[in-house]
Amino acid sequence: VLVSEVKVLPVLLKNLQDPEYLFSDQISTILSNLSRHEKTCRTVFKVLQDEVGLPKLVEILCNESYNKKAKLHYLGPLLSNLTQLPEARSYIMDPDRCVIQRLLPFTQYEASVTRRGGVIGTLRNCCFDHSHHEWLLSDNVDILPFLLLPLAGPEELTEEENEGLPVDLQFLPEDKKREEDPDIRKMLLETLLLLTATKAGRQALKQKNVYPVMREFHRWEKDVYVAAACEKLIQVLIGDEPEQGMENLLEVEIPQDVEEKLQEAHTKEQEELGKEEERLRREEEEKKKCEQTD
Amino acid sequence: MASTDVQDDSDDGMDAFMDKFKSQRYKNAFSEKNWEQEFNKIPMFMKTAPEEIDPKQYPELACLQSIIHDEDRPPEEQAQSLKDEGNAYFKEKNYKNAVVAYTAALKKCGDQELNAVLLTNRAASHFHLGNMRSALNDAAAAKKIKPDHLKALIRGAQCCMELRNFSGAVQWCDEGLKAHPTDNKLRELRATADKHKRAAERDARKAKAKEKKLHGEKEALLGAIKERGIKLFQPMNSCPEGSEGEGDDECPSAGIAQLNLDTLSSLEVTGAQVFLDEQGTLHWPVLFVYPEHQQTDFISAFCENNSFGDHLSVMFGEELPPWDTDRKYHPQNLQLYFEDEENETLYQVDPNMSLIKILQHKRYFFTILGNVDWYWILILVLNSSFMKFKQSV
Repeated sequence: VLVSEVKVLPVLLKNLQDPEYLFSDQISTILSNLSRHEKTCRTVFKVLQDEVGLPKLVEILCNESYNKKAKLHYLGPLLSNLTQLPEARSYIMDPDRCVIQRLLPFTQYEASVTRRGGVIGTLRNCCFDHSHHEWLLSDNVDILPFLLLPLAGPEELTEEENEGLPVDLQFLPEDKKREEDPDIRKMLLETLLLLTATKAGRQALKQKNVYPVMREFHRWEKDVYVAAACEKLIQVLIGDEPEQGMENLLEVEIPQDVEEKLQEAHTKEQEELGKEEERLRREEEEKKKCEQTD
Repeated sequence: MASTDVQDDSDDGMDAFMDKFKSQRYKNAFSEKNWEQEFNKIPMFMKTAPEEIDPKQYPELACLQSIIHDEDRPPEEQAQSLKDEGNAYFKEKNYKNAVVAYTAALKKCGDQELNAVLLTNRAASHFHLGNMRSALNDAAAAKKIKPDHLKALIRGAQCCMELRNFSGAVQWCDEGLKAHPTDNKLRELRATADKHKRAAERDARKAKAKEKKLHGEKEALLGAIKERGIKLFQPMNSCPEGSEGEGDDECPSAGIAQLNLDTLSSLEVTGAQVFLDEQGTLHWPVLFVYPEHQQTDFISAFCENNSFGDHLSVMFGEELPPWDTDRKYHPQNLQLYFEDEENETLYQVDPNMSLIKILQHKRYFFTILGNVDWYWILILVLNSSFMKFKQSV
């Protein structure tokens, strides 16, 4: 299968670049599927680099009207899959270029859940590299507002809280809507959580008043899984600083038995969340029944 | 140096010439005083060039100029030397002359490459002169000729920034980054422009929110006034026809309808305004007029639940005002009236009634007189001569 792929890919990629090509959407979905698993992803990436180059792919993705006949939304997930490879990530986060900055506005791209989700997935993968966190949170990229905006709502915060917020989150209009897709909301929260791995990151998020935004978000959130992710983030934001030597949460060494316990706890949590969800669903149904009989 | 006569080729002449130096004094030598001046006249040693070159004073310079600007030279060469001239002026920060030079060069030049450079340079000169629009135009023209000309792209973005067109600046940077993806200056410019753009968006949202809040407050105020059934009257806008009888009721409401938020804003001009406090009580500015002594007192925030009696006992209770020469203005001697403008009568006011009840009097119209709107009230001494005067009217 791999071998035949290699022959097919160059052709696909060449057509993808053609702004007039009719089937570019299908190509995008094919590529997106092919790049899901690491091994095939590597192949796709290699051919991509040879034929098209990652820069061009990003350019096409960021240009809404590249191909009048195809939407090309699936380039989002394609990019997201590609960023599981460190080479792809290091290109996207190249400090001498302006690549990731172009992707940021797409966190609120309303026209397509797929593209939006793909971009956010890309950002999340990038945040696994904590060596880049400082740069990502700096003015050169300023990733934070773009992650928070989809989670922010129209609620008014106190003047003090408002002052500390990033500029893009101040004075949001009354009709501000939050991200509709719960999976995307969860991804955003995971990304934010990743950014709290380093001490500098935690400080940055605390300073920029991420907590009040999360507080309001938690009040609004109905999905149990997303709420749980939110709670984890809040916990880090309001909790104490970890002890010396453990400042980088992603690098902390977890002893075997602790790891096992954590895994157990996680499974248990997931079970409980599932039950909670069931309970809520049943409540909703009960409510509906009551309303019908009245 | 000393000008020489026609030189002889013969050695004799030379020898004789050389002998002269031994005997004659050197004429026209530089002295301590004038050597700097003299040096300055020589083109090669000039520190600064004179603005205008008078051929009589500076013959050598004039010569050089005419060589440079010789019309017979091919136009590219002319353009090139004009460009050099412009660059020289630019270095000296003489941007005005630089523009002139570049413009002249552009006229001569046919080569597009050179044109792009000239336009970019001229753009830079305009930029430093503060002529942002001209600079932007030049940069755009340069970009048209050579879309990847880095300096033009940077300059264009900078001009947009100065003109506060931050989205434009970002666009210029993006175009630039397409051609020069790793250029630091472009990248930094873009980050700055983006930041300013988002700050400007925030400021716009802030202004809108403020305006909305103000609007809401005014509406609440208007609502409270209407709720209390206080009639409003605007003398400028005459009531519609049929203002007798039922018209009486219509007229006030027409008055109210016309009292829109714009006229309420005139309240702020005077500094004294009706306002609604947190408990939902209105406070009114009230002018006390004492026609007998031609004095006035002004209370800027008269709570509607208070009565005049309350205020009078404070104002006239302990000490009588200095203008009350007859010492008659004791609270119990005072009578209060408000004027019914339409009927031109005075209505007496019970000092123990709260302000709100008085305002609700069916013949009381809260008048908006141009920029001034406050409730005004006449205060007179009981049985005074003025009263008799009023009654006779």
